Amino acid sequence: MKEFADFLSEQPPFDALDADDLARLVARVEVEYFAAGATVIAEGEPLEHLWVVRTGALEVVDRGEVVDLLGPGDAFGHLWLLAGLPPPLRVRAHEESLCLRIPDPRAFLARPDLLRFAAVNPGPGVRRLARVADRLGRTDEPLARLVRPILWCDADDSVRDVAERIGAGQQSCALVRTGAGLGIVTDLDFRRAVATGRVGVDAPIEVLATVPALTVEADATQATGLLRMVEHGVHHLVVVDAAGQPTGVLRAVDLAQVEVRDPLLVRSAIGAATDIDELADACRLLPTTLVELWDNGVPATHIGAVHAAIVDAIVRRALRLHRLPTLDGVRHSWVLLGSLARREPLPLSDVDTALVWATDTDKADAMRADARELLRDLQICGFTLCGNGANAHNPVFSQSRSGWLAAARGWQRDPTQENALLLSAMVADSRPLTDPELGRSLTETMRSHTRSGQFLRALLTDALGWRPPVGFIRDFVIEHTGEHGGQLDLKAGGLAPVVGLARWIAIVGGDASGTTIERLHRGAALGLLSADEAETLAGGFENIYGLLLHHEIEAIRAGETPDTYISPKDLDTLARRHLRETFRAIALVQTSIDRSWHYRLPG
Amino acid sequence: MTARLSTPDPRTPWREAEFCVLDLETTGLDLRRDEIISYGAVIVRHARIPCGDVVYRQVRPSRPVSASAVTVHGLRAADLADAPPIDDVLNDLIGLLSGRLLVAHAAWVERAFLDRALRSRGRRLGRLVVDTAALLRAARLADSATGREPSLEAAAQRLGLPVHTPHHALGDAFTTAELLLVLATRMERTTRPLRLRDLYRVSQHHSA
Repeated sequence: MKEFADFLSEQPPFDALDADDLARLVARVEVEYFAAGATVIAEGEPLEHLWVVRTGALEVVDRGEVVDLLGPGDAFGHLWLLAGLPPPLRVRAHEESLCLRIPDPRAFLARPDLLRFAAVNPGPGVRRLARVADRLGRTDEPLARLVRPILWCDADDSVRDVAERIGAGQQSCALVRTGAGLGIVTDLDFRRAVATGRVGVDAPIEVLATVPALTVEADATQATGLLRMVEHGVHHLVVVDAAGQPTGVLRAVDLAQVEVRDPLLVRSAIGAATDIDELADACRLLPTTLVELWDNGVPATHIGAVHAAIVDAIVRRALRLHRLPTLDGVRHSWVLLGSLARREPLPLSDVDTALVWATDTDKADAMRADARELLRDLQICGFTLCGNGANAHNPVFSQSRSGWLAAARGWQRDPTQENALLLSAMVADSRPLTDPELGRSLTETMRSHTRSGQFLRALLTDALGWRPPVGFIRDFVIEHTGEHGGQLDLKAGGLAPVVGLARWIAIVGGDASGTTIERLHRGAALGLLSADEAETLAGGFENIYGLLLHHEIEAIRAGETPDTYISPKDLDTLARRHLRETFRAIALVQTSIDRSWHYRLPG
Repeated sequence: MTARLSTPDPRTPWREAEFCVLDLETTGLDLRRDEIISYGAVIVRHARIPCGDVVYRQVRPSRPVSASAVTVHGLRAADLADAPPIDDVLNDLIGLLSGRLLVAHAAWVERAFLDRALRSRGRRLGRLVVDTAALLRAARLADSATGREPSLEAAAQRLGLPVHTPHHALGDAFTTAELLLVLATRMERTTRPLRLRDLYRVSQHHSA
């Protein structure tokens, strides 16, 4: 069957296979012909095959709407096969089509690692035929209407019995109360443990359960549910009431809208990566995913949160894949800094990191060398390290716990010393990724009372140094010369003033956690801002962050390198006026805080 | 009296049946004297072609390969010197054809050669055979003016199907199998469910 071998050897994911594996592949191919309009893949049914179009064209149908066309060479179904999720889309023949049906190739190839799934044209999004405006804001709907009833089982019920009840009830999971807390058993557990013989069918279900089960509050939004699934790489959450009692189950398949699928797919690909190259392949799905989310009307700040959760998963996976000889022997914590720490990155954002280890040691240099190795992995995955040196192999950003504490105290005592304010601000945006208890030592001193008014004043002056461009009445202050002549730096002029004020609030309040918007609302609760000021700044942040994200998304779509400059003339009149009002409102709040900051400080 | 090979129930819907799509290369075109030198067999099961179930074998003939035949399929006597004689592969052929419906392009050629080969075992083909050349004529996809059998290669190209190594028994059997999928699927537009006897009747009615 040379024709198919030649054909498949030219198409991802098969284009890197050797001749022996190609022969194995072709031996498993089944050829099927579809009349125009015939269903190739039914919606919601678990897939056991992937498909490659040989001749003709297939159409991908999402809730009755054709969202993509697949032509000769296009593969379909592999993502769902990899994710172990039933496809929430229907695929039917657009015209008479000859298709190749292939069972999961990972099961029979000698070198399944050479399958280049990430190189397969992602399809929808790249050649999307239709965009649906009415999806705007849908993820903000409460998840209540998607909640399914619970199937309870006892800890000593047999695996076989529970599997049968799950099947009979057309469920995909069951809950069990164990001595260690609430547990969950999903169809994936059966596939992984029972099908492989690791757990016998007569074993008590308890041994299969994940305890404690991840939960989500019943009044949370669908977006929150999605984010929690992406963060933890799971497809089920237990829905609990205000008292923490389980009331139902939320499944990824029920959230199965486009904006849910893609982040979970990237997440699955990350989790399945067995080496850095595979991880890098998975990372290449990230930009497209962000474009997808944007195209589906997901709110900008929500896209940022999903983006941050995916980066978290990537760094965690890289840490698991790369054995670091010195670091592995020492208690340590990886900490994210900057916009990723605040969970509001932009597609362009650097990955800023810091490292803390528990006790003083003479192995500091070796640990930094290890850290450099891991950062190199992240570079292979396509990430840019911090241009300002906030990287975990830099001695300033990699220290023992006592080293970090001493440094932070020094900055507080004498804010005039070199870089004291900059470093204090950088450390204030920090979020431990591993060993959170240890990682929090970066910001421990924020809660101390040793901070002088001089220190807080100096930090505020620094934060207020970012001024929105409001100098002109009729137009914005724009760059007059150079590369960005006629353009406006939205990051420096728009985002930085609000992010800076919110960070100052975080430092004053002694709590490094939260997004800019969460910090602003905390500022209002602490009396540092009026409710009106907090709303103004939060609204301004959302507006500018949304504009910047859109700008970078369009750059990705066009295959260009994104930047943070926009031309005001590219905005429509309404957006331009809104932006100008936003700048003015932010500047007013800045002026007011500058004058009265001292009176606002909590007792 | 020779016994016919078993064939599936003619009432079986085609999507539930098994077909054996066969193509032969021969020493020449004399149906009484020439011999089989290779065969390719492709199974169609549940309206799908499993690529792992294909068979290709060469056969050593007892007479020379005619010069005109060599120019078509390229197989010379020297290429077949190590191949088994027809008697050694008959069991394999009987196994492939039993319980399945035979499909071939211009099937009368295959029927003649196979029946003659099977005679030594006291067997012959089942009554039902499907001819893709006839199905093409029925679908008005054959060029009727020439009076010759429609070319397999030209028909596949016209339908936008991939053409597998032409004039190789397995390549041609595979292209024929694809043709069967397309033509049967098209017949389903008017006849549902399409049964084996429907395919056979159309095949008979439009035979050359």
